[in-house]
Amino acid sequence: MDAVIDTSTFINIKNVSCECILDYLNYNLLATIYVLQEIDKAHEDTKKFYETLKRKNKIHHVKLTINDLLEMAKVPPHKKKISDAELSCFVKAKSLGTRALCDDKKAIKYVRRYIQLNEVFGIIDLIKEAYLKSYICDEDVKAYQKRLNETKCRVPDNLLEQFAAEKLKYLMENS
Amino acid sequence: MMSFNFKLLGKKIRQARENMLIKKEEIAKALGCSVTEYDKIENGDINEIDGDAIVIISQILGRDFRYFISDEYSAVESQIRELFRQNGTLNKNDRIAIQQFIRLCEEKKNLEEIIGRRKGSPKDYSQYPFSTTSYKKQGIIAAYEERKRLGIKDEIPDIYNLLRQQNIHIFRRKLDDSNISGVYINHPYAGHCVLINYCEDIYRQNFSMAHEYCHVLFDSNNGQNVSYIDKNNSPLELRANYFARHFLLPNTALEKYKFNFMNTTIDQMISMIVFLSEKYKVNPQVVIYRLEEDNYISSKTKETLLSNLKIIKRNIQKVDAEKMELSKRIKNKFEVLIEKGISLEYLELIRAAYQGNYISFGKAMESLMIGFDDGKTLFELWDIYMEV
Repeated sequence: MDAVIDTSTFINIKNVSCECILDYLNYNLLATIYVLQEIDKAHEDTKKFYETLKRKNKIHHVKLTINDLLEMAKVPPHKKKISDAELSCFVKAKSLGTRALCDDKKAIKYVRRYIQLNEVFGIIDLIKEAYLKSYICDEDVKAYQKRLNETKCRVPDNLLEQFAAEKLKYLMENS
Repeated sequence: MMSFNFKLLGKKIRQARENMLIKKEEIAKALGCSVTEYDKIENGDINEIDGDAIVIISQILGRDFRYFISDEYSAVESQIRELFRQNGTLNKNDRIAIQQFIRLCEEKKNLEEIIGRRKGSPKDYSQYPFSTTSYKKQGIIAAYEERKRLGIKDEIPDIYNLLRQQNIHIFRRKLDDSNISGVYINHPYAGHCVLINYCEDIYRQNFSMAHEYCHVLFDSNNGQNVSYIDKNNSPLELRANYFARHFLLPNTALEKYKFNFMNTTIDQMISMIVFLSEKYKVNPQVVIYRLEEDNYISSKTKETLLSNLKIIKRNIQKVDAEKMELSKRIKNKFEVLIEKGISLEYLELIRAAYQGNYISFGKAMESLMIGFDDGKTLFELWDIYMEV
């Protein structure tokens, strides 16, 4: 599945070391010039992580068009509460009709005022999807949650319980 | 594709590039094309261009891409053009620095609007009923009026903090041309914007700040001004210099300590000058000129003291007021940002905007012009979590 990724999710996937989920769920990541520039300004380990994904053909540069820029410009600059990287990710996902990956709830909530968004997933959604499809187990979820907390990401305490309840429902519905 | 005016795009790019003294070759190289191909963009001889190319060009030219794709010219664009035309000796790096400073001021104004932060405005002295036509005296009168209006009792502990409360966007940044002390722009949207040349001499920067404040008070109708250390002869610069001297080192300061400069040795005078210099955070030259101005010393003594400047300066411990507010834990991290031109006030504004749920994490990093990982480290120092 194609998905346009924002820097927030990219860095969180790296920090949590859960890139295997991208393989399990068969994601093909697309990144705009803004996101690539942010990765370029990031620490060495982030750059290396990008290079690894690129070598594996898991991430590609997706070019913005003038129409994308015009769509981005719909958000008035003096009221712009999100970055151009986040904005470009949402706009590109919309124009390609694909999923956007962004970990900033504030950004997602804000951009909906101006742009009709497709589905937006964050790292928690990716972990949940992998868990529901049994690619990862309880211990994996706990480990990812711990690493997210260690990198100052606020995650619900009862993440595993929430996922387990949903998995039960999912299994019952699909049995 | 929607109808798009490629001629206007090319014209705007050419104007901005020429203003910034950036060569076509530099942009062509960044785009990975030949100069001939790049020329077609500036001439509007194209009927398509990818968005990435516009983003790259905008970034090199220090503009928001929105300016290039809109059908309008911005008022500030012509103001910058005029500023660069008036100061033709500004080199490419300093033009880029000034352009980035303008973007920071606009961004700061946006953030203040977004979080609803309001401040008082500085007084307009251009219509003040002065009883004198002397620019020097006008500067002195305004200095005392302002000290009174702002409730300044004695020394000014942090001039930047004081004047930022007056709705002035103040940033400090190192410029290539060390003869430039400051830049003032009355921005059509952001309002009063002051750039202080971040040199090694902290007290010189304080003086430059007071000097630029005088331009804010008197010369906002002129739109923009670059102040040079070696070009102080115009009446407006003279007024600003006298304003700065009296604003930072008022008569009361000299009266208060009742120094008897007539019956002291040079060494004693030097230690008094060091004391005043440190307390009022001005360079010893300012103290010496003020002492002569108020007849505490003769012009001969002034010359003797000025010839001892090196010795005096060696004894002065200069402290940057803005950095004093930083705790040891975060000092190193923030110092790097401050030296890049980010102010502590601006940092706090971004923190408030993020913690108040007004802006996203990405926007905070974009406003700080730092990378995502560095931003995470910074937010960790502030103990701020990202909600995912």
